[in-house]
Amino acid sequence: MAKKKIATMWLQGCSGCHISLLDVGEGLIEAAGAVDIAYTPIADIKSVEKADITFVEGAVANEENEELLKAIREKSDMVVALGTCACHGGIGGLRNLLHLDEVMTRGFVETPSTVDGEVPHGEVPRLCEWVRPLADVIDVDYKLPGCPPRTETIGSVLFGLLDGGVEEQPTHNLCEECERVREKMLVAQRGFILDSVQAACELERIDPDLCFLEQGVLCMGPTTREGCGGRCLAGNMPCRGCMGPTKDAREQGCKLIDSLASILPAGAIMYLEDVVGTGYRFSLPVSIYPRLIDHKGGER
Amino acid sequence: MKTGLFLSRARGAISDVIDLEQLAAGYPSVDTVKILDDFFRADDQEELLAEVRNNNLEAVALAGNSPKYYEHSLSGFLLLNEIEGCGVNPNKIAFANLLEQVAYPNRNDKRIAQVKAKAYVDVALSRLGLAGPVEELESAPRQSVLVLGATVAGLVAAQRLLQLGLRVYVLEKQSPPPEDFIKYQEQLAPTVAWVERNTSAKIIYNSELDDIEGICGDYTVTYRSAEGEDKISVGGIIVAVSHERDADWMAELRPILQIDVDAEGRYRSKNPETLPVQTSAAGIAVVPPHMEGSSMVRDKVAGADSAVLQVATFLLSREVHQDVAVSKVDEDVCGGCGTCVKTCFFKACTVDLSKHRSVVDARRCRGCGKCVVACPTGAKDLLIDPTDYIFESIRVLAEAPPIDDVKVLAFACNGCGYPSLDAVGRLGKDNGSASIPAAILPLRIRCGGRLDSQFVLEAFKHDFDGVAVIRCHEGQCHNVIGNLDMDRRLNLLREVLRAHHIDADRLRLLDTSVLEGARLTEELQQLVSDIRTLRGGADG
Repeated sequence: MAKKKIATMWLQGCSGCHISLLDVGEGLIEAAGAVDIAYTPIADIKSVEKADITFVEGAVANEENEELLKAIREKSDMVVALGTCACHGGIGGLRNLLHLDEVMTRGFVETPSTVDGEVPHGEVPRLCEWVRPLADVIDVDYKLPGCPPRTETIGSVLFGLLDGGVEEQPTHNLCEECERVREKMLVAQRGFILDSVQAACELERIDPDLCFLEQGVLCMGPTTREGCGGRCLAGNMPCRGCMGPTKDAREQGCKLIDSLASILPAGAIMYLEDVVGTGYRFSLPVSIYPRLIDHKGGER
Repeated sequence: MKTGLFLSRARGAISDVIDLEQLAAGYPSVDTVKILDDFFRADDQEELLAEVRNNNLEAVALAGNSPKYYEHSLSGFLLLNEIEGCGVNPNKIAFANLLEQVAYPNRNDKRIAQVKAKAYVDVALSRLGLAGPVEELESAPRQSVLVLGATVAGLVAAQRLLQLGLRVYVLEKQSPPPEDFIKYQEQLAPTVAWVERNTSAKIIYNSELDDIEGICGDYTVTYRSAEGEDKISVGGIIVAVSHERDADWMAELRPILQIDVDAEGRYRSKNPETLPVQTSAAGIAVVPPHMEGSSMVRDKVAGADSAVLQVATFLLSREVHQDVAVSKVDEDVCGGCGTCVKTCFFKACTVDLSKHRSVVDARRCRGCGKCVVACPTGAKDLLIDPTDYIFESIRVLAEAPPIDDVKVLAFACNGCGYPSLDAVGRLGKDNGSASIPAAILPLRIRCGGRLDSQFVLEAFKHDFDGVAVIRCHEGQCHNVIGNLDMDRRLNLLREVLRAHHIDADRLRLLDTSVLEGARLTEELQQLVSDIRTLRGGADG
């Protein structure tokens, strides 16, 4: 029986998901025995051919992304959205809070180190007005969020799909995987747990065992889906929300606001630099307002 | 699910303005659709109940009076009890407010009335589709009563209860003898002596009430006195405190008992006009403050008698049922973060440490919805006000045919906001001019604390020009801190609105009470005019 053909591609992404895939390391040698690689940018093959399963990293942000993605959909039996950008739009999706001309001006003219900047008009693929996740452009067969997804998870999803069935992904929030201790959060007494909010780097000492919210540090863990293993938390940094929202929430940004208003002093939260960026860092393109919309008269 | 839609002519008050035949014809897929002359006429009630029984209806939409009418009138709730008695779950009864909020305000414009009537019936039907059944808790009611306040009213109540064969605990904050003993010595002395000697009664002075949890018929009360902390179990509670002498104590008791207060901080029953002693807790009765506070002993006595009758009625029945309006948890999503635990004012949320999942205590949950909104995962839902139903209602109201050049979604809380809108509507009945502006589309929510930021964004996304929240005054929120939570969330939400170039002025809060119909009418008209101005300019 012919070996299954798998392929990968990256669109607007940082290639981090591919690096996570490569972190399989020696497992790749085993994998090579089980599958054929139709094409992958890692091997510098960039034309789209027929494949059984194609992993696509990155969001759709320019016209080339869109063309490639549609070709991939046509020629692949299954398309897997690999990583948060592909599933939720990712950090790059934050540009949806600006119109494209503002983005270009900010990037090419207004950056502090630019002298006499000019927005270029070269022969490069045109940027789309808005950044979109894959599912806004094509039907996606499987979504694997993460920034990047865990190497083990990529491996088990790949081999699961090849075997004809993959386990359902876990659905709780990150508190399920987090090993930190919650004390004050569990006392049935209404009230703020602390009277100030700080960034992790502002603490004298970051307690490695205590819940971040109880240290007054904003952690996106409660509003974020599990599945990453809580690596950042184990690394003594709070969660930033890269796995995206849980299935019961409509979006992360509002849920952050709704939940924090009860437990951390909202007045202090308002003085955080960027509530919007914090709440929507990875998932703006799949939120209730995925981009700027001008109501009367349609999109600008 | 077999559904019935009943439309009331309200003896012409509705049918003179809304073409009910045309409205009814718009629901061919509803199992039973019937137009009745008046939901509160004996013949029509018999017909309605017969339809429910004969057609085995599992869900009923009542398009007629405001839902608050059933709650606040003397006996409106009895009709609902009878519908439930036919096998319909209490959470499968929905209302379309065609009278106060459609027919009255739009007497002069039938086109508006017809559009709004259809939209509100659509909302009611979607609620039936999206709300699940609620459970009941049962108790064999305990044959004992807690009386708060050794006042004239409190002691008279105690004596009556004792004579009915019930045990009585009287909790009093002051040291003996309380002021009333001295002031009304002559009338009161025999009562005091009788109660003090009665072996089924206990008067506890210098006491502090710490906690009450439970359901009608079965409350557990924790208090402190000179003898230390103690717990007692009672079936009902009568509040006989004196506003004049014990204003501080009343303020302390209010959050524990969850009794509503008026603008002066005096306890207020569910409806001082029609339900003078009932509170929203079925097992807690209040001696009406104007009677307790009267200098005439006869008023205090009458007030006490009234409270005793209310409490004795259910205590002397074999069984008491209470619907559990709780929040529920999706255990596939809840990770036990504890946010709900810190949000709940009534200590109804805890985390089960063995499973790391949120657990709701049905004996404490008041169904306010704050924990549902605060849950960062969306794992919680409020059975009596489901999230999906609210999102669907936003869509239904947004898609109603346009009746004005702007449209404003007005969330109205069940405590003051929604009844105030009814009051505004009734003004239209009397003075004929449009009272509720055509542009206002109301959506009833349980409490201000039930307002999820996601709802506001969803409303703007559906092209509402403005979003208003009509809610209780600060300090009068039935759930004590619902408005506080809402304020905190909305302060943060405004940042999000600004980031999306949505003018934060398009989100408006209106504080009101049911007595301020005229003022609210003006404010609503001003709000619509402001929104119109904002939307006429550039950049939404």
